[in-house]
Amino acid sequence: MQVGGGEGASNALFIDTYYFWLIAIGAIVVLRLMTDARTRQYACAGLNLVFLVFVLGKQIAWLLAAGAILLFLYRAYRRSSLRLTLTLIIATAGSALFVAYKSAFFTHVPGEAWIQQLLAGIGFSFVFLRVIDLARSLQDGRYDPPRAEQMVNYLLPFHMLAAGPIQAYDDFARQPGVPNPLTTRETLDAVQRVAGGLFKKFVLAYALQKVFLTDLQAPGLWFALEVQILLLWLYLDFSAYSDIAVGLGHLMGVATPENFNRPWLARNLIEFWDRWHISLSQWIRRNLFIPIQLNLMRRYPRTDPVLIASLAIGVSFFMAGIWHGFSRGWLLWGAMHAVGLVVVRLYTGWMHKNRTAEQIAAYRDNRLILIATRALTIEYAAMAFAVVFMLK
Amino acid sequence: MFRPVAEPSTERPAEVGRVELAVRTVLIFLQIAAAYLLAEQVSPFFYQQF
Repeated sequence: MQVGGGEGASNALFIDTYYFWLIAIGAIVVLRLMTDARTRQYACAGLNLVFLVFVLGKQIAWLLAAGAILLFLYRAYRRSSLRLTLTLIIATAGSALFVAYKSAFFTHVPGEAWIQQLLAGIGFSFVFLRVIDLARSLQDGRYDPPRAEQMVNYLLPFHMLAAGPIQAYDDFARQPGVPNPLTTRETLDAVQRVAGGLFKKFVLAYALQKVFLTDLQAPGLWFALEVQILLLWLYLDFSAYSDIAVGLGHLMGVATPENFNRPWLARNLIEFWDRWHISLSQWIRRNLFIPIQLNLMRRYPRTDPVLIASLAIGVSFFMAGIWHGFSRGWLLWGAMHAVGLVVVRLYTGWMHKNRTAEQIAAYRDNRLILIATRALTIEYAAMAFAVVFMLK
Repeated sequence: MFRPVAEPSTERPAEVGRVELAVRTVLIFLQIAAAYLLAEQVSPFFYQQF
């Protein structure tokens, strides 16, 4: 495997295609000019579908057929007695397709293109997570079933298709039909966000990859350094996509959540997941961790809550590992994060039981401890990612 | 009597001055230009489309 993609190979997903930028510019102009919410939704859906025609060609017919079935299932949520069954059908069918899709990737693709295919696969994975999020929002009865154009805009937004963020349906449904006009400063900030994302991806991440990354083949101390740089490269490359998506979202007036918030400041793994791939960790919390935890607590009310929370974390990150990719590396990555999170929870619980509030405050304010915990957290995350690249 | 001292505002002015606009536009242009030039190395696709 070549870390960061082989020489000359495209690992830029869609952002290096002319049609992505053509549709982006068209969407900014069209969506900003429209003042009627409904027409705006239709226009947005049209643009998203045109983008998919460029990506998929004739294959879009399959996507439209699957979309029609999905819309039918979503509309059936009007009958509250069917909701649980519908969610089970959507989750099972979606998971089966997802597994088939991912398996095909890993059995038919030569090793050289591993990372490109992984990134492309993640593009599909983001849609899968949105399908589930929408189903669960409807199951809770919080929203009416979406109309066709709303479903297209939530599940297949062209600017978030490549590498997220994974928008929550709440976030999508609550955005204003027609956004406020942008000030000059807001426009400039948004354009800067897009330009900065391009610079991060094509200049900084690329330079780092060229100069430092050896596919983790380097010996001794150099290997240890490469593990750190690998995390920095991942951050630059991945957060660049989010910057471009968020910047374009602001320009178009389409709600687009933030995905990164200075992850190197996290002082433990729980905080790390509030700062790294935020939209994924929130999805896991909403759709896996909380439902599993609540279910177990209802079924086993006498069981230690810490044990239940640990089990819920374990299952959640096992699934998160599989979602990223079917490899020993991703499984171990999930296990490492699950173990790390459980340890943090246990340690935090122990602190609150055995230390006074003043002692805890002094602990939190201690500069040396702050530096050490930040370093330990980022180091642990770096090692977990290194495992993914070593065990494919 | 002391008058309370206002906290220095952390908010930036809403209006963008000409100098700021010019500097930021140049920086944005440079970032996009650099990304465009190096994109060829990352992916030849970027050029082939034009």
